[in-house]
Amino acid sequence: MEGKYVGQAVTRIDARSKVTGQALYPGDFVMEGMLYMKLLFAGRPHARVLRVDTEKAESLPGVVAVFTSRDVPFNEYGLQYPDQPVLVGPPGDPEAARQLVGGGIGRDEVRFVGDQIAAVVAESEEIAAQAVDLIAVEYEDLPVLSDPRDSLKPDAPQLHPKYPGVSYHPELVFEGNIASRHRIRRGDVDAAFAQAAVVVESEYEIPGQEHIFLQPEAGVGYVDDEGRVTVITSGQWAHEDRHQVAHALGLEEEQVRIIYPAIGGAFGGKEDLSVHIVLALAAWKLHRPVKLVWSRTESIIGHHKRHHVFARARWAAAADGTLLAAENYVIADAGGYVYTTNKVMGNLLLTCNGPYKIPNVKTDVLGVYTNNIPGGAFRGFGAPQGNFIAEAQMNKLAEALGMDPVELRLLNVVQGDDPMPWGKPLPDDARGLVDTLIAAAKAVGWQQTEQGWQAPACAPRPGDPPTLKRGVGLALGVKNVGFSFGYQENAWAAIELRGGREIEAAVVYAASSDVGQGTRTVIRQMAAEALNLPLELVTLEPTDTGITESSGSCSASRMTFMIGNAIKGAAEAALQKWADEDRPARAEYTYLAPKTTPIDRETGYGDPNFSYGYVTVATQIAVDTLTGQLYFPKMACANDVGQAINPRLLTGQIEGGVIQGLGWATTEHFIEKDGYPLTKTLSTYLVPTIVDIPDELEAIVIENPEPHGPWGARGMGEMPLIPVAAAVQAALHHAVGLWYDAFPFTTERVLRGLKLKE
Amino acid sequence: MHPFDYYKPKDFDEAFAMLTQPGKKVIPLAGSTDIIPMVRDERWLPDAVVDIKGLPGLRDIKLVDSGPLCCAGQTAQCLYIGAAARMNEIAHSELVQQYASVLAQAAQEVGHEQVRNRATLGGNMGTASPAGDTLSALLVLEADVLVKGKDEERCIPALKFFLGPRKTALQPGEIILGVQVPPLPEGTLGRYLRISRRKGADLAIVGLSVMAIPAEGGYQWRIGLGAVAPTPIRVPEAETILATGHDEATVEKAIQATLAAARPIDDIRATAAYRREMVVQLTRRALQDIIAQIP
Ligand SMILES: Cc1cc2nc3c(=O)[nH]c(=O)nc-3n(C[C@H](O)[C@H](O)[C@H](O)COP(=O)(O)OP(=O)(O)OC[C@H]3O[C@@H](n4cnc5c(N)ncnc54)[C@H](O)[C@@H]3O)c2cc1C
Repeated sequence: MEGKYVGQAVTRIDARSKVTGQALYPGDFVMEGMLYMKLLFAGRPHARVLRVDTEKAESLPGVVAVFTSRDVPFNEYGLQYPDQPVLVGPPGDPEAARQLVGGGIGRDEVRFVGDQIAAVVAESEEIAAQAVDLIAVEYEDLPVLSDPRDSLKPDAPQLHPKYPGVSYHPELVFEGNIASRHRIRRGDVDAAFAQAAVVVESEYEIPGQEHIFLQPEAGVGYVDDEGRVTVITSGQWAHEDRHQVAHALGLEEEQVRIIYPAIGGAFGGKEDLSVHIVLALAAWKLHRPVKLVWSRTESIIGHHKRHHVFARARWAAAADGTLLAAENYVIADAGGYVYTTNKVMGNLLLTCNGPYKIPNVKTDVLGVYTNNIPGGAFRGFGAPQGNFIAEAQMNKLAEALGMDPVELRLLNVVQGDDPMPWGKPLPDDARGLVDTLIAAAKAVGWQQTEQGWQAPACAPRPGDPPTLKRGVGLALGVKNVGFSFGYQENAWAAIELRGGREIEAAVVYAASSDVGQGTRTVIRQMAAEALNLPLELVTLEPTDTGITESSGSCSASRMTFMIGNAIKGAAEAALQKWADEDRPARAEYTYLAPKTTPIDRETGYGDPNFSYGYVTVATQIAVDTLTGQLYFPKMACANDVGQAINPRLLTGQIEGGVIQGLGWATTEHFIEKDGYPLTKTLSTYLVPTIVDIPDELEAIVIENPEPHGPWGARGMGEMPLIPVAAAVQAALHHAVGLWYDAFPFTTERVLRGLKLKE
Repeated sequence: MHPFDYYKPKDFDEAFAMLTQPGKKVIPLAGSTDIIPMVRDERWLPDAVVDIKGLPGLRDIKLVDSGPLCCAGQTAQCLYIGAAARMNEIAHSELVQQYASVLAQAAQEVGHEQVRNRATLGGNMGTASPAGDTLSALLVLEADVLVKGKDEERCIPALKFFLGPRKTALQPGEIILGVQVPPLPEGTLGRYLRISRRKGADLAIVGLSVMAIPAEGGYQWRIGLGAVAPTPIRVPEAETILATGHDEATVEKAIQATLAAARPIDDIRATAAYRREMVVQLTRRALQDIIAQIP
């Protein structure tokens, strides 16, 4: 569809302000009388804090206050479960501590290097930094668990007390070091393996990933003129941030206000709190503005990573390629705290068997505590890891069967009413699976022949040395859009129409976090379309809990879908009021997405999601077999987006997502040793540069309308990243005949594989 | 971050007065592409920096006559490259391409466009990282390093300039004015190759400079290696082998000799084993490249 605004490459609202440097990011705010904060990070992976001596720091001239665990009214937080102390150390009020989850036991325990001990507030950043060095902490070091497989051993130390859990997160089991547990049981895999023509068995190691958003965590806390403690910061869900801040400070939510200005990227890395609570605490206690900006290294140490995953997979097919069984056993490194591990694992569970008809499925997914940096949300949210398992298995099965990988997928992919492993079909017709598969495959040279689809031969090109090997590979992906497993998805928006006879202005209220993806631009487009007004008349109020209700999280590829529906509802209601001669005509609307259900704890059965995105990535590769260096002449990503609201922003998401996936697959190697991260800077943690990305990246936009999506749009922000690693693995195999089951595919790893083969 | 003072001297006298303040750690500053990250990470803690890149002559790239110190006794002109010449200026300079092609190639490999617009040759030498791209090129060019202190100028052969990781033959208070590359006969061939984990903006895992200089009907060879020892090194053993010819068997022997000279370590960028393998591959590639150009 091409509307007046929907479907148009409208220029971003913030293009000019960002390009000219006018846009204010959280670290750019300066307020009168502002103080500066610096945190004391534990810097060790596992230890008990026996004593924190702040006397010297407090007596340094210019220091205004030093906060420790004793000062945090309710010393716990967590997006899914409050298992992390705000500041680690002995409690101030033992009575209050007993009300914390787990009875407040272990709040004096450091569980990863990024745990924080104290927050110094001073007249300048330099003084605050000096004072941090003057704090003396007495630690008792404890044994470190740095591999989740070790955490599962019977004699492993238990890193957390036995928490009671909550009814709405049944997967949070807290059994020993197992934080979360998911499973699917369908049919009888063992019987199927016994009669299968082909069985493929593998062990995979899927790496973590650091977000490297451009703007490290930062914010300013102050008390506003209505007496609310306010934090201007970056995040992905302002109202959830407010909830957690209020909880830790023991305040009512109405007493806390969160404002998001321009945000320099998030990718899931800002779903969990960082500077929020300590800033609010200091501002609340001191009644002065306080600013905190993390350095890049503090950011890398201080926020979670994509989960590092170890998996065993055994899949079986009949001689004609029909899938018979899939068995996956997955252990994920949750690190020191839960963060969003339980939900990430839920998505891993749903994606690790692919979008295929498999009559017999047995899947176990464990999220396991260690003393590493926590695992958490990162674009794809478990789907990239799940996808790697499923698609690597499919590509290997294709090889074992002598079938083309496209043909094998076409034979097995779900269509119409075919149930997914959780017993329910995909909620729409899921045509995007086949459509994206064919489109991406064709883009890198697949051809339809009398024998079916065939991969290109990848002969050497003129000038290629004999040691350069070429190949192609692809992977198909699926992921849910929106929050799942019985959570009633919702998003709020309001529109106020001003004017007399004619509408002169439309003011839109929505609490959507513009993390760089352009959500505010798209909201304005959708509002103009829904109101049938010129774009120039539509303005958007800031994301501020003081003036908006919750529109939900900017994650799970959900915002355009959810807020678009809310905008449509609000626009319709506001126009009605306008017709009824309300001046101004203001209407609010909360969109409720179709209901979902939890999945059964034993079988995994249920109806966990209301919408899905479909994507295929196909790539060409050239491998220098003497050095292990990889080149990508062309990559293609076909994405069923339902309806492109803004094609230019959408292409940007596809290109960025693919490149982020390529970084994960190739150069981004997050290394932790004994609980200490070794890649704490941008010179050791290597994101792709302009010369590392594919020479050509084709973004193929497919538009099969999503039945519930606004104007048919479906979520897409995460999709392009998801199949990249598996596509690269397949292309590598096509080029050199080796399956690399651990990545990133660094030059050194690639060469080591080739040497072993010799 | 440790705070420090910044000075911008008008002339050499002022510069040396600033550089030699008693009791203070004062260092020269050029493009600051090493200084900023090092000071930020508190690995270098200067009390003050002296911005020397505006001093007269420090950015020149030109041909000069033999002098009393550097380039002594040469009959033809030498190539002078000022210490504050930027990597991009060096890489794009026709003079450097013509007289010291291997150095132009090495400069082109440093960092990325933005870094090369600031990073200087003197800074690369001053940092003296074993992985510094230009250093092995200076060794095979047998360049002279012209340095200046408060009272005198000296000339140090590049071969004696690099003493260890981050250690050079500079005395406290001395700065590098520039390097002088002795003239080379027509038909000299040079190749710089390197490998890194990421193709853009990443330090070398191995860097390799090779030159073939026409001599008495044959060629004299020079091989320099970076990132595989505490300093950039020359490989005289391999050079001697190649002096006897460059047929396939001899080339293989030279490669083995080059490998034997490398003493790499394991670090976060690469294992020693991978570095050794890359020494072999890069040496073979560079030698083959050069041999293919030999008329
Ligand atoms: C993103 C990035 C990528 C990089 N990639 C590479 C790379 O690929 N290869 C590589 O080799 N390097 C690389 N570097 C390192 C750096 O850019 C080089 O070493 C550069 O040549 C340093 O020059 P500068 O002028 O910036 O030095 P500065 O930072 O200004 O100085 C560096 C050191 O040299 C001293 N110094 C400077 N000038 C003089 C002088 N005239 N006399 C005496 N001492 C002096 C300073 O006191 C200091 O100790 C990279 C740096 C960055 C930030």
